[in-house]
Amino acid sequence: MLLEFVRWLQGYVYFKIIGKSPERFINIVTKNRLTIWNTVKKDSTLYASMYVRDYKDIREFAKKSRVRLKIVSRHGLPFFIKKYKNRVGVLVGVFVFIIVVYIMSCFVWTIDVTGLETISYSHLLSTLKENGLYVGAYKKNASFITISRDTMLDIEDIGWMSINVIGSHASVEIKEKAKSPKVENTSVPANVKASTDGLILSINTYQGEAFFEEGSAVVKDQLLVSGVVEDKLGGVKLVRANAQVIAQTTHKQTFEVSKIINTTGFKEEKTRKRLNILWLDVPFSFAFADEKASAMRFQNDSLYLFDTFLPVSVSTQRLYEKQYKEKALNDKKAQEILLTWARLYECFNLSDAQVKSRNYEFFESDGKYTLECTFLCVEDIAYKSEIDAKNITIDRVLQSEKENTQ
Amino acid sequence: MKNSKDRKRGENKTRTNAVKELFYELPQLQFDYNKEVVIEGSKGVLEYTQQLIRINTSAGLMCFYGKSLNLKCISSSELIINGYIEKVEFIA
Repeated sequence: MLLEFVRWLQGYVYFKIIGKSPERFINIVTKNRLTIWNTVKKDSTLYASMYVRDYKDIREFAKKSRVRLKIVSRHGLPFFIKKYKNRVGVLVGVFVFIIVVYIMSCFVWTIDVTGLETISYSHLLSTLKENGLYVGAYKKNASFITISRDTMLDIEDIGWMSINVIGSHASVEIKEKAKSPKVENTSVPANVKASTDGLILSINTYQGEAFFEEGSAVVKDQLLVSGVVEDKLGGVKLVRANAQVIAQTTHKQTFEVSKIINTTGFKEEKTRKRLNILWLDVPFSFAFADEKASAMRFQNDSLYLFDTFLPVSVSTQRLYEKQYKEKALNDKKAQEILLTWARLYECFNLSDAQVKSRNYEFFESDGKYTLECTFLCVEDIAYKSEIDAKNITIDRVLQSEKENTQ
Repeated sequence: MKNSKDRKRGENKTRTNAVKELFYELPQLQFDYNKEVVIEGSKGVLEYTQQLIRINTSAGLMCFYGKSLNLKCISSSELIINGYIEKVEFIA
């Protein structure tokens, strides 16, 4: 294959040797250290191939051996160039094509990222760009080890990272750090208090001294289980109280909406398109940014061929103007809006509680609609309040000393 | 004693030289079964047809009989014959 390519590069002719003793001609040629190959004898004619530069010197040998030579076909680059010598455009085109392919292969065309879980894709791409890896980056100047190291320093959540560049495609592999779970510091003594007002339905004390029983009503921040307990010898011991206190609670929330509301809409003002080829950014129009525009939408459409995104894309920039409108609400619409807010409140604020019943009161007053919501819930109201251990011990010591003196 | 040793050394030298000469002058043949043969030390092609190729070497003539015989490549001292070789004849 390589030999054939070398022959093609140098150019060769396939010719026929006509005469009585073609063997003699072959011997003379080979004695003069000229290479001849692919000799085939058909009937009385001998066919052979020879480099074009050698063929020019064998006329003399043909005369000596009394044979006639006739070229059958010409092959190789010199003949190709000669053929297209007058067609300069074709040659220039071929040359330009080779140059363009070479230049384009020096840049990163596409970036593919795998292994992202919590890190934002766009954040990673912008960090990579800051560190030197982006679509259109010059490959030969880029040190991918340095880029990956700098990116890992910039984004702390990355545990391991590798950048592999195959051709013009950069593949970024990422393994995110495994976050350590929050471990409760059990060495600090604590009391259990009520997070909200409620009626205790059940109380399970795991550690500490419970102050209430089932059926007791408690208010917010009231001490439920104490972390200060007496030991068997009558001394005072500080522990981290722990308990599950299930209580019936009531949550009240009021939502209001005025009868006339301001709505915001967007009106499309201008569209600007740009052609992006690697780092090259060509605008389709020379329109400048409109100062009135208060919102912008950006869309990038890349050329996709043979399962590959090519570095040619059209980016569309749409500018929108903000429009304010006043809108009058009727009862039905207002109720709908307020109920939606109530549902959202229930979803986000009462997610840990079990809502047993809901009561909505809708009324209209002073140019606004009001919705009063009452949620009857069952939930764990216990929360831990850490004890300042130093003060407690000093107080207790002083108290015990007083008792001793008395 | 010295003379006899020198004589022996001289004899050995002449022997090795003779072997070397023989080795280098004799044509070397390398067969790829009966499909192809590489001949090193040829001195020219005497006859070339599709059924018979006669080669001149320092050791004598070599005849390759067969079908569709071709000279694949020829240089000043080497040549490759391919085709279907049926018989090889050495004429000293």
